[in-house]
Amino acid sequence: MNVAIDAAICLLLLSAAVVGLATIDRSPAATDGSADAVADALATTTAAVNYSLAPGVREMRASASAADLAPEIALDSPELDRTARGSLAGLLARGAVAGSGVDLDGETTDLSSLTRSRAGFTAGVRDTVRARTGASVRIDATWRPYPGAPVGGHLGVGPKPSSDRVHAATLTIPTGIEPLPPSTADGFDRLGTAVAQRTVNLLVPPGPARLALRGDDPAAALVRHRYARLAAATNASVSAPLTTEDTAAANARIARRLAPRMSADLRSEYDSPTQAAEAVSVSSVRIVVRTWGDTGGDR
Amino acid sequence: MLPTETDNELADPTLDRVHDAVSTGGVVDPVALLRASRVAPDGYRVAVAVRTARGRWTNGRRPPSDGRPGVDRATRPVSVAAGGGEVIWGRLTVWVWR
Repeated sequence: MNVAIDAAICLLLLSAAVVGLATIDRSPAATDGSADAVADALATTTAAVNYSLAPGVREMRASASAADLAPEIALDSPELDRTARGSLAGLLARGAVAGSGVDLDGETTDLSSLTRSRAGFTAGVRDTVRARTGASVRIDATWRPYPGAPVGGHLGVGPKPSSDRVHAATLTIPTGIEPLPPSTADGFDRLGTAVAQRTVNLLVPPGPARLALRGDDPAAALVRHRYARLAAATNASVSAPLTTEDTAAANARIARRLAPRMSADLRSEYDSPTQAAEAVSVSSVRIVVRTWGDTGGDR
Repeated sequence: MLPTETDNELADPTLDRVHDAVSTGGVVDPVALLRASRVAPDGYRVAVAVRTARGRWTNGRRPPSDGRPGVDRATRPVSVAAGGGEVIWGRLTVWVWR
């Protein structure tokens, strides 16, 4: 398989924009530090996650609208296998973004994933982290452009805390999407537009998407499917720009559909655009680590 | 305080000191475990072990058997330098006793 395309789709399917250094907010000194220790280890430990894109192909075949475009490939084909490497915190952050959904109609807090192409990846991350952190650690990685946004993703690992004596630590992982420039705080419309553009570019990074679309199936088909789902969820039309693989234009069309909603959300929730801009978290994934009980097994 | 917590009065601070002594930039170097004996509280012996999926390292002292009275034990997850620039998940455990 073409190495460049393979790399591109791998990047795309992981929203590989999620990289970089983590910052850790210490929990109060009253805690015993066990959550901090887990957070530190998540930020500094690396791992490789092997997964398959097969769930995405299976989903396309099962869908009336996408079945015609589904790639003709055996579900156990090595061409669908991928490997992702990174810090555990970085993998968790990518997993949160990878499972992102969009719902402009509902009031749901748990958004279902746009496509299942990355279901293997998120499951792989969950297993990889769980195998290390064990049964008395809960980790929640969340990406949300702003509180209550109609777009976002979440990846949870481990059981819910079974005790009141819970210690917590928070990691903030950059998504790789450039933060908002100060000028966006001039007005709610401008802010909503900037958040919408960044949101779409994280859901479908235009550079890797363009490469993938110009390449072969299965990667091209899966990206087309992702665009179709995103366009349907936002009531946008992207078929014209995608005939020329113009992903920047396709993303702009989707962002134009999202922007009014995002501007309205922020206007209704915050007194000023400056306050709203401070609440925007489109550029980072928040990872909350909670520990309780005996985390002391010598494993 | 629960009874189990008072057990760790000695082991918890020792665990912190051991971690500082054997890690660089938050990453534990298994070869540095020998240094851990230096941070033992006066009059006490310290056994240290790091366990990972690749293997187990110690400071050369065998830990006392579990449940032996007078032994404090504390443990935490750590990242461990596994060679070749790789940093893997591990668990650092200290035992403190007279």
